[in-house]
Amino acid sequence: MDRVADYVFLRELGRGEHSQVYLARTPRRLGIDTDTVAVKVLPLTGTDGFDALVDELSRFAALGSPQLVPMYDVGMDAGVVFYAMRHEPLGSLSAPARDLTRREHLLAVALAARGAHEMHEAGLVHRGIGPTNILIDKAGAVLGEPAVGHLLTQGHTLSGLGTGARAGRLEFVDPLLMRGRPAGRASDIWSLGVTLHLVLTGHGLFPSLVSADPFTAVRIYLRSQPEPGEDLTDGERAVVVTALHPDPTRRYRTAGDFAEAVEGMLRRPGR
Amino acid sequence: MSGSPTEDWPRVQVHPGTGVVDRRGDTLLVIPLLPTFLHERVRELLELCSRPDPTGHARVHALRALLDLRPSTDMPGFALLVRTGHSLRALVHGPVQILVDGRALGQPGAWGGGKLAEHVVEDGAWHGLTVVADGDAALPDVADVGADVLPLDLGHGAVPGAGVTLHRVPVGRAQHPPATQGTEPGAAPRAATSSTALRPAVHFRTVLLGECAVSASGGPPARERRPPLPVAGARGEGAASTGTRGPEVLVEGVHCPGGHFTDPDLSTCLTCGSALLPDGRRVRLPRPPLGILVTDGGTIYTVTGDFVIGREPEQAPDVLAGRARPLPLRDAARSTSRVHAHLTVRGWKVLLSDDRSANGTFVSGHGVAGPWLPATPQTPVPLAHGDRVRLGRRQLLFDTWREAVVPRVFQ
Repeated sequence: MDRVADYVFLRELGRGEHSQVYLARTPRRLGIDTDTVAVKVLPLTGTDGFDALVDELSRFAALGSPQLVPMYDVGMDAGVVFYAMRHEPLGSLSAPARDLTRREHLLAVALAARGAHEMHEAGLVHRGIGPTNILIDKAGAVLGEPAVGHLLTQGHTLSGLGTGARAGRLEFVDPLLMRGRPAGRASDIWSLGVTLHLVLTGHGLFPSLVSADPFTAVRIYLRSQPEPGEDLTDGERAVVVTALHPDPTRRYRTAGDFAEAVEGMLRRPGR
Repeated sequence: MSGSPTEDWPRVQVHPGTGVVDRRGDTLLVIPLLPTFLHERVRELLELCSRPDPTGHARVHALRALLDLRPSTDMPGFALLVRTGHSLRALVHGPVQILVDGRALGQPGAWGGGKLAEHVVEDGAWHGLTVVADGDAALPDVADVGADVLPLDLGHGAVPGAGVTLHRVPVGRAQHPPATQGTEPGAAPRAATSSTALRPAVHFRTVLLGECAVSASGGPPARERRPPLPVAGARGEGAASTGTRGPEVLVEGVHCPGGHFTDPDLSTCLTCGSALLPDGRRVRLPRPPLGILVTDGGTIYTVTGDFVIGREPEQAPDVLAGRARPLPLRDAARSTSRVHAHLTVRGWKVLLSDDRSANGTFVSGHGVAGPWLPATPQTPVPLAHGDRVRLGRRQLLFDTWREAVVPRVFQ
C-alpha cells in the first residue's frame, strides 16, 4: 500500500491484528505545521460503522488532553477506514527508540492512566491500552487512540488476540469482558495494571500463556488467574494486585486513583 | 509464457479517454468506460489482474468467480489480455469489443449475459489489435487509429484511456540491443515509452478532528457531552451502554450453589462446574452470555444471540433486520460463502447450521484431528464448549470461561 486518500506513505511504522500504521506526508488541508503524521488503516466492510467511528474519535480528539495523542483526521477510501494522528518518533513503551529507565517507564504508565481517566470522565472507554499504545514523547508519554474494532464490525466485542507471536497480548483484555461485563473503567484499569506489571518485571502475568495458537491461548486464558511476578517489591505488588483484582469493585475506583498510586512509586527510590 | 513479458508484448498505444488501461507483467487490462458508481469494482479488478499467476489459470478462475458473484450490471465492461506462449488470450466481459486487423472478434453483442467470453489470438495471425467500448463511433481501420492515439508505448502501470491498439513488433526485434540511434535505413522510428503508476480516481471522505477541525471551521460541531463512566459496583453501572452487549433475553434457569444463573437441564454449573440440585427452584432471568467465539484470526465475539457467519454476512436478511449479528470470515481463496452458516441461540443451546455453502460447515469436538461432522441446513449441530468449527479454510473455536481458583494474593 503506498497511499490512502491524499496521504502519501513514506514507510510502514507497524502493524496490528487487522491494521497497519504508516508514516505519511501531511496533506496541506490539515492546516498543521508538521511535515509528517502517523496514519492507521483498517479494513471497512460497509459504511455503517463509519459515523460511530467519527463520533468516537471526534470526542477523543476534542478532549485536547496533553496525555492523549492529538488526532487530526478520520476518513474512508475504497474499502478502508483511516485516521491520522501525531507521529511520535520516540516510539512506544513496547518499542522505544532508546532504552528507558525504570522512572521513565513508570512515568509513562502514570501519564497514560491520567489520559484514560480524562476519557472516562468524558464517558469514553479506551479498550486498547497496552505498551504498543503508550507513546513516548518529550513530556513523558501520551496514550494512543482508543480501539475502534467494535464500532466497525457490529457484534465484534473484543480483540487483543493476534495470530502467531501476538497471542500473548490477550492478557491486556480483562477476562470479565468475555463473561459479558461491559467495557468501562474497570477493564481499562485491568489493562493499565497488566502494562505496569510488564514494565516492572519484563514478563507477563500468565506464565502458561505462551502458545502461538490463538485457540490454545484462549483456552488457557479462560482457565487461568494472573500470577504477579515474585520479583516485585511489596509496594509494587500491592498496586498491581489492586488493579487486577478478579472482583472489579475491589480494583482502583478510577484510573486517576491508579495514576496516583504509580506516581507514589515514582516518589519512592527504585530498586 | 516465454521470455520477458515486456519484450514479448506488442507495442501498446493508449486511446485518450476516461477509462483505465493497466499493464503489469503479462497482463493488460482495459476498462474503456469508468462509471463513477463502480470505482470499488474497478479497484477489485485491478488488484485481481495484477496478482502473480504464472499459469494464468488462477486469475481466470478468480475472474469467473467474481462475475458469478456480482450482477453483470455491477461490473464494468473490461477486456483482460494475457500473454501466454505465442498467443494472446483475451477475456472479455460486458460491452467491450476487440478488433483484429479491423474485424470484430466474436459476434456483436456476444459479450452480454454477465459471462466471461474468451478468445485466443495466435501470433502471426494479426498485425493490429484494438480494444474499445462496444458501440463506440465507427471505428477506423487499425492503420488510421494510429493517428488518433497517443504516440506512447505503455510499458508498465495504469493510465487513463478509452481503449488500446496493439501493434505487433517485428520478429527478432526484441533480441537486438536497444538504442542503435536509428542508423538502420528504413527502420521504424521507436515509440516513446511510458511507465506510470497512476491510480484510478476514487472518492474519499474525511472529517477533520481536534485542532484541525478548530482551525478549519472555527470549532468542531457541538456534541452533547456524555456522562462520566460509572465506577465499578456503583448503582446504574449495568445500565451504562458501552456497546458490547446485545438486548436482554429472559430464560428459565436455576442458581448453582455458587450463585451462578445456569442451564437447569445440566447436572453441573456452566460457570463453576459445581453440581446442581435436581429440584432447584427455577427462575426466569436475563440470559448470561453463553460463551465466546474465537476466529483463527484472533477476533473474539461474545455469544449473546444469533450470528450469521460468512464472507459477506452484513447483507444477510437476518442481519439487515437486526435479528442477528454478522461474523465475517474471509480469506484470499474465497473459501467461505457469502452467507455460509448460522449460529442460533435457543434457550441455553447454541446451534450451528450450514446455509447451503459451497464448501460446507463441519464441527469437531476433538480438536483439529477430528472427526469433523457436517452441519447441514436441516440438522443444526448443538455446540459444546471446546468445539471447533471449520468453514472453508477458516476455523472458529466455541468456548466458555471456567472459574479458576483465585490465588491467595487476591484473597
